[in-house]
Amino acid sequence: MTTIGYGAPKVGGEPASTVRAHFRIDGIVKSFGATDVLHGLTLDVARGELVCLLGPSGCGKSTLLNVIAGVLAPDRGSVHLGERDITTMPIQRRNIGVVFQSYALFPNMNVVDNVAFGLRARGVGRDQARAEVDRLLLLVGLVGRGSHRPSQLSGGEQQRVALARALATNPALLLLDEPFSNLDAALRTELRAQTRRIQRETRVTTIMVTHDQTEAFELADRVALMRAGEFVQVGTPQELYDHPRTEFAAKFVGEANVLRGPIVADGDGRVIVFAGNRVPVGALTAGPLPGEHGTLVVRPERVRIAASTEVEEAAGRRVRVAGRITELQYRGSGCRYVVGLGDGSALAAWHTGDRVGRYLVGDEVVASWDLADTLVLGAPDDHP
Amino acid sequence: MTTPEMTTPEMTTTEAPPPVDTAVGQRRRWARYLVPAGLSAPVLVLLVFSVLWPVVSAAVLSVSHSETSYIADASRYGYILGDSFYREVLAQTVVTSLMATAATLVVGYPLGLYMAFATDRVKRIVIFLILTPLLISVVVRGYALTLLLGPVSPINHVLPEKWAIDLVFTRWAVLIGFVYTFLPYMVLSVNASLTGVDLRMLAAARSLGAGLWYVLRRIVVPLSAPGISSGCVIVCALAMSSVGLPLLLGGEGYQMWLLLVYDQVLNIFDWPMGFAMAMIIFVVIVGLLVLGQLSARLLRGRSR
Repeated sequence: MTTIGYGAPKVGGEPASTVRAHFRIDGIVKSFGATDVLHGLTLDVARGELVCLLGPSGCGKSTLLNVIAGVLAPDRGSVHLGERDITTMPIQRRNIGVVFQSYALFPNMNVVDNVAFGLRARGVGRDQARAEVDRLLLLVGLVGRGSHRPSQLSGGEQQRVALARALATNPALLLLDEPFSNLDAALRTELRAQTRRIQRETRVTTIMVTHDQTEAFELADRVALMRAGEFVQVGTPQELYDHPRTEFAAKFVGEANVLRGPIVADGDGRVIVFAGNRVPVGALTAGPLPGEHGTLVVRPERVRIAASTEVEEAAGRRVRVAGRITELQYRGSGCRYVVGLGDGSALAAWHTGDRVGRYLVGDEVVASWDLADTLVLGAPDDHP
Repeated sequence: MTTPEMTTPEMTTTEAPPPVDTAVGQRRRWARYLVPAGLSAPVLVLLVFSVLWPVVSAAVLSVSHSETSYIADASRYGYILGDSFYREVLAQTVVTSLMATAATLVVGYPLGLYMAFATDRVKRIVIFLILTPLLISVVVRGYALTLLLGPVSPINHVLPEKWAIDLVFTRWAVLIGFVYTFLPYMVLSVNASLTGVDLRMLAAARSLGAGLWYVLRRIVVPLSAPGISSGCVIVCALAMSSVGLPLLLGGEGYQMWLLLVYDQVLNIFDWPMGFAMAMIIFVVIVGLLVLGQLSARLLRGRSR
């Protein structure tokens, strides 16, 4: 497949490397007056990888993106693109493409001029630039809209123009700042897929900021979960989902049952005690010790409900917890049960297929899950 | 002059629009214009009496044989435009006004630009600095300038004698006076037109590799074109129709057109002549206004 652009991307006027650049931030610290926003962030991004900065509002992800783009200067730390240190390099020499949440298209120019802007600013001739623009418009699916002004385009079209414009200069790094948040739900799904396809085709190293977990999971090769200016966990979406390292991480990437209780020694192993149940923790090598408090996490889709009278086939070692159904939420594709455990805590279970609607509110049931699906984390956290 | 519809607002806003072809519908339709017409009537009346009527009667008088007769006689215009002195003053007026406009633009645009992207606190300081002089009478300011630009100016105490300035009663004094006095209009006009420029837009442009001049040339200036053109039109019109400043700063040494009109009407008492001269400058100003509009359209369309 033909690569977009004019050969190898350059950073600061020099070739970044023979292929798309490798990117790294090291110990980035940033404060605004008395407020510390970023607390020493370090991250590596491989060539062609798409990394998502995921986190709630105010966690500092947009600030970090601005530091990478060069809009803000970090108080401490360094930014490397390719082999070059770009921490103090001015914005226009970094060759980083940016797509802002508001797209920031130039209203006084039409689509073609917007996309060609970077090329023309670097002295590329009008015809050459036009050929490039045509290729990019084909890539983003906007052929024939070239002579329109941004105000005449729909939100989805504007977003694609912004993307084409950022890619036009063959950037070594592409930054996306919540690029889908201004779009309605249907458009969002469509453009997500398209953006992913474009990113895979152009193989440009990309960092994306979002607060939407589904979006991050759908697009990213790796996700960097952020909270209060720090990386809570960095890994593939699967790693984050199946092995969250903190309660916050468990809850942010999907629904999680969180049960708390003390850790108690039991024979030569450990158990966590909650609502009159004892769940072995011993199989895990790391984690809280007897005497400490622990947090048990299990995903609702791993929890199965059965009537107390039913005999369940025991496949592997299962944890069984008795309770009563207090809530039932039917959601079309599945059914969510909430089981009260008697001591005030509750467990959510997600059933799909034939198991939907078998049980009613008020039923005495047994919730069970495979021991392997249990995650036991340290003390309940107020901080990551 | 209210109708029942006007006293119950909910009828005009929440009910479905009535069918237009029925008698009732017709009545309701023009009734909708009653309030806007009523509200703008005072201003319209004022405009008619203070602008339209005087201009029309001045125009009529200027082509009359004399003040008392109404025989048509446009020979005055021929006389005025045929006289080399009048032509020279007219040219001077237009040229000085254009120069003042250009100078105000050169000084005012960077200031307006700075203001548009400054913090709120800086914005307030700049507005204060620019607007407070307007609170002081233009006559007082004009006198201050005559002192500043004249032989007894404090500047001359600092400068060596060879460079001593004595600009009063020259075109330069008038020019400086114009720029100083009309700067606020230009700055505020430019500033207002830049509110549509998002800082992110500039960051995006820089990230694409554009230097500051390129960004200015291809994004900022085209977007502020409406502000530039309206600022220029305002300053030019003000300059060409000003009397006080040319009187104080130009005096006998440098005549401007409206001073001559002033003279004709209030000293010589030849009203028809004065009005003819006033009509001439009126046409020139309107002509320049039209040119200004056309050039604004050109600037905006040219932004490739």
